[in-house]
Amino acid sequence: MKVHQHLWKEGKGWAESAQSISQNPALILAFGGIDTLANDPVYEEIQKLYPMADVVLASTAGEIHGEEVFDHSVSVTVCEFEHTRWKVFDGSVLDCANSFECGIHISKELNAPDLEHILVLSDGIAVNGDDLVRGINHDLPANVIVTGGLAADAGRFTKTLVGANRKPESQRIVAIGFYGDRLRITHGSQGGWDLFGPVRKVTKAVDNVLFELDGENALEIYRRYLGPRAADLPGSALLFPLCILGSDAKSNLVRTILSIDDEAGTLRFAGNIPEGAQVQFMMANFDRLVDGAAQAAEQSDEKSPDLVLMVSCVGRKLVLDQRIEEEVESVCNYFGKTPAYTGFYSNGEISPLMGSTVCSLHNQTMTITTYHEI
Amino acid sequence: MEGREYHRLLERQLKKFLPGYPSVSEEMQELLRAISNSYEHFDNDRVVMETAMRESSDELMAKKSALNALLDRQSQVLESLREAATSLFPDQASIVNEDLLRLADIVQEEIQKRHIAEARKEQSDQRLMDIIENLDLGMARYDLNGQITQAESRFAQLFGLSPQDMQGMSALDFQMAPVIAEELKSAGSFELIADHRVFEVPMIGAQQQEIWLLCTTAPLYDDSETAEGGVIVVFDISRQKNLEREMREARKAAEAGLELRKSILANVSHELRTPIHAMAGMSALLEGTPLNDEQKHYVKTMQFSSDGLLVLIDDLLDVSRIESGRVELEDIEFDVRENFTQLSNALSLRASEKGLKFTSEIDGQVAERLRGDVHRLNQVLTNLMSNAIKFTAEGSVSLVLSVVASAEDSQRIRFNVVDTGIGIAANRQAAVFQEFTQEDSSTTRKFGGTGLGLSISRKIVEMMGGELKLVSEKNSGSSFFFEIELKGGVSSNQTAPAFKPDLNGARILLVEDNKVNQFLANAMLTSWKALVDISEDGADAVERVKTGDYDLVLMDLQMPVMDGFEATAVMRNELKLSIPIIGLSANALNDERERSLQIGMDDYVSKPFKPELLYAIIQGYLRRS
Repeated sequence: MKVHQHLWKEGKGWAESAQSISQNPALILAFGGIDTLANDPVYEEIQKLYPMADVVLASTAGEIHGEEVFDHSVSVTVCEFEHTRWKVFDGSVLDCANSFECGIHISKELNAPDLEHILVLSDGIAVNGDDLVRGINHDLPANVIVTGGLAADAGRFTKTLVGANRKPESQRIVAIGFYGDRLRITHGSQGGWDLFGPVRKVTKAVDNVLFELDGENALEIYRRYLGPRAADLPGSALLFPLCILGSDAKSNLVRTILSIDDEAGTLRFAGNIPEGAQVQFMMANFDRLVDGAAQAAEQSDEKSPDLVLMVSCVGRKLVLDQRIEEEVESVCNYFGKTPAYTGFYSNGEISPLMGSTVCSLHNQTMTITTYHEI
Repeated sequence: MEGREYHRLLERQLKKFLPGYPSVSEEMQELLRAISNSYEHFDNDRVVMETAMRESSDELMAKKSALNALLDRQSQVLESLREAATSLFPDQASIVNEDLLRLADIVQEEIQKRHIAEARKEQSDQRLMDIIENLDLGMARYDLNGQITQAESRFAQLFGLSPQDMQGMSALDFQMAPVIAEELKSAGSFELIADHRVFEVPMIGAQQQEIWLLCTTAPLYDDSETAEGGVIVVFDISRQKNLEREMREARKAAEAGLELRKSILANVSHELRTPIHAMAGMSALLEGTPLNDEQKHYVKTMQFSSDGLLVLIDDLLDVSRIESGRVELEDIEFDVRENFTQLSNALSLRASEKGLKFTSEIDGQVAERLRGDVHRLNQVLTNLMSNAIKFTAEGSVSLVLSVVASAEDSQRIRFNVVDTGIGIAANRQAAVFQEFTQEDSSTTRKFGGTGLGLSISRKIVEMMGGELKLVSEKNSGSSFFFEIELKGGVSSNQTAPAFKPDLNGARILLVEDNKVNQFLANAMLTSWKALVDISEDGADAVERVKTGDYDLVLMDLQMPVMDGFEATAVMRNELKLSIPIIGLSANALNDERERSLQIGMDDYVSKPFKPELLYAIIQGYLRRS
C-alpha cells in the first residue's frame, strides 16, 4: 500500500508544486473546509492530477494533515492498494425514506463475502447518524469493521458537503467498501471528557430531538449552564455534551447538539436520545482530551500502519482551540514517523464501541482507523 | 477587546516589559494576536466553567436538600413501620428493630398468610352460596341505592335472568320492585333498612305466573361498621300459599254448610214443636176434664211421650247452641229444696215404675236460696238421673247435694248422682262424654237414647265453671258428680204464691194461623178470664188493632200474608201503638228472640209454653199498663 499526500490552501492552490505521483488506480480521500470545497475548484484539480482515481470529498470543521491541523484547506491523501479492492457508493439522503433505510441500502450495495471494512462519510446535518449506523449494521456480518464520520461546516451546523467522483454537495452519503484478506484494519475511540453535575432522566424525547430532562425544558437548562455563552448557541452547546449513561463507563455514549429550535424549546442531537435514559452533562478537561487521543491510538493496537485516519469531534476543537494540535501530536507520537496521517474535525464519529465490532455513532471523541496492507 | 488590539492583561504586560511594542514586525504582531486570543479563550472558558459549576452546585444543593427531606421522611416512615411491626409481631420485636430486611420477610410472610386466608374466605363464601342454592333459597345483595351488587343463580331464576344480568340493576327497576318497595315502605329509605325483617310478597315470575316469596332482609356493614346495603334471602312459598288458599276456601264452604245445617235444624225444630205443642196442650186440657182412671192413664202416657219428644228436640237444639257458643247462662234466684224436691218427685215416679229405690239427700248446710241458671242445672241433673234410672235394673238411684265450701255470698255445692246399675268399663269412661256415644252399640240397642245427654251435660257444667266426673266400675254402678259455685239468694223464707190465674177480663188479640194452636191458646186464655179476639194473619191483626181496644197482643211469628215481624213493625212504626206485643214461636233458637225484640215486641215465648210462664208474662205487662 502506497500513500501520497497533498495540501490545498483556500484561495492559494496546492501548497507545494503539485504533480502526479502515480497514474495507477487509487482511492483519494479529500477533507476540506466548507468554504474551500464550495468555492475552490479542488475536485477538478485532483481529477486532473489523478484521472484514474476514485475521489471522495467531505467538508470539515478543521483538516488534519500530517501532524498539523488546518482551517481553510484541503487535505488530499492518495492510497494505492496492491492487494485490496474497493467499491465506492455515492447516494442521496433523499433516495431513502429515512437514515436507517439509507444504512440498509448501503450495506446491501457494498456487502460481499470478502468485505473487510466500510468507511462512511455522510452529510452531517440532514442525516440521523445513529439511525444510519444502525441501518448499516443491520445486515452486515459481525466481523466487518465500520468507521467514518459525519461531515462538518466549521461549527456552523447549517450545511455540509459530501461527494464521490463529483463536486461535493449537501444531503449526500458516500461509503467505501474494502475487500480482500490482505488489508488489516484496527480502530480506537476515546473521549476524555469529565462527567459533572446531577444525573438526569430523559423525560421527553423523540428520536434525536430532546424536549425535557427531569420534567424541565432541556434548552432552558442549557441556557442556564452556558450563562453569557448562551448567545452562541448551538455552537456553545459543544462545551457541554450529553453523556447517555450505559451499564458501565465503556458503554457510555456521548451526544453533541446539532441545532436548537427556540420556538419549540428543543435541542436536536447528532444521535438519538432514548426517552427514559439516564444522562449527565460533560465538560472539557484539556489534558484528558489530549490523553484521550493517545489512548485511542493505543486501543487500535497497530504498530506499523500505512495510514492513520483521525476523525475527531468539532467540540474538541472548539474547546482546545489553539491547543488542538496537541491531540494530533499525541497520536502521531504513538505511531511514529512512518505512517501517513490524515483526518478531519466532524459532526459525529463512527466506530465500534471498544470490545465490540458493532459500530456506533460517537460524539466528542477522537476516533482512529488504521490501514495496513500485508 | 473593544478599543484594544490585545487582551488587557497582554497589553499591560507589553507596556511593562516591551514599551516599544506597537512598532514590532508583522510576524511579531501575528504572534501577539495568537497570545491575546489564548488569553481571551481562557477567560471565556473560565466564565463558562464558573457558570456551569455554580449552576451545578446550586442544582446539587437543591437535590441534596430534597434528598435530606426524603431521608427525614424515610426515617419517619421507617420508625412508624418499626412501631407498627413491633405491635403486629411483638414476639419478633428484636428482629424488627435490628434487621429491616428480615422485617420485610416477616411482612411478606404475613401477606402470604393473609392471601391464603382470603382465598379460604372466598372458598367458604362460595360454599355458603352453594348451600343456599341447594336449600332452594334465593339470595341477593344490594347497595344503599338499591342496586343489586350480587345475585346468586336461584334468585336470578325467579325473574328469568342470569346473575350477571342482575348485577347493577336497580331493585326498583324490575320485577323485584314489590320486595324492595315493601322494604322501603317500612324503612323510608334504603339507608334506613337497618333491621332484620321478614315479610311475604306476591310477584310475577318469569313465566308470568304469580309467585309468593317469603323474604328476609338484613343490613350489611363494612369493616368500619358503616351500612353498605343489605342482603335479601327469598324462599318460594307459592305451594304453601296455594294450600292455604284452598284450606281457606274449604273452611268457608264448611262454614256455609254449618249455617245451612243450623237453619235446617231450626226449621225442623219448628216443624216438630208445633204438633208436639198441640199434643201437650191438648193433653193438658184433657187432663183438666173429668176422666176415669183408664182415661187418665192414656193422658199420662201421651204426656210422657210428648215430654220425651220435647227433651229429644231440646237436646238437639242444645247441641247446636252450645257448639256455636250461643248459650247464655241465666241468673235466677231459686228455692233450693223446693226445686230439687220437685225434680226428684218427677224422677222418682219413673224409678218406682222400674221398682227402683230413689232417694234425694240435701245437706243441711246448703242455703235455702241460691242464684244461678236453675233450669240448666235441672236439665243436667234430670239427664244424669234419667240415665241412672235407665241403666239400673235393680237397686237404687240417689241424688246427693253437699257443701264443699261456704263463703259469705256463695256456696260451692257438690252434686252427685249415684246408681247401682250396669256401670261403665274404665276404658270407655272418657268416651261416654263424647257426642253420639254410648258405652257401646249394644247399649244403644238395649236402652235407646241419642247419646247426646252426657255431652250436653258436660258442656253445661263446664260453662258453670265445673267439671263433670265419673267414678264407675263395670257391673258395680256409677257415680256422676260435679262441683259448682252458686251465689247466695236474698230472701230465705219467701214462698212462691200458688198459681191461681185470673186476667180479670183483659182484652187480648191472639194472632195465630194454626187452628190447633188457636184453639189451645184461646182455651187457656179464656180459662184465665181474658176476652180473646183471634186474627188469622198479621194483616188482619193490623186492621183490628186500629179499631179494637186491646190490652195486649199475642203474635205468632210465622204466618201467611203478613208475618209477625212485619205486623209488629207496622203497629210500632206506622200506627205508633205502644200496646204490649208478646211474640210466640215454635222456633226456639235465640236469633229469633233477638229479632223479635229488636223489631219492637216486648217479650217472646217459645212454644210449647208452660202455662205458668205465659201467664206470668201476660200478667206482668197488664199490670204495667
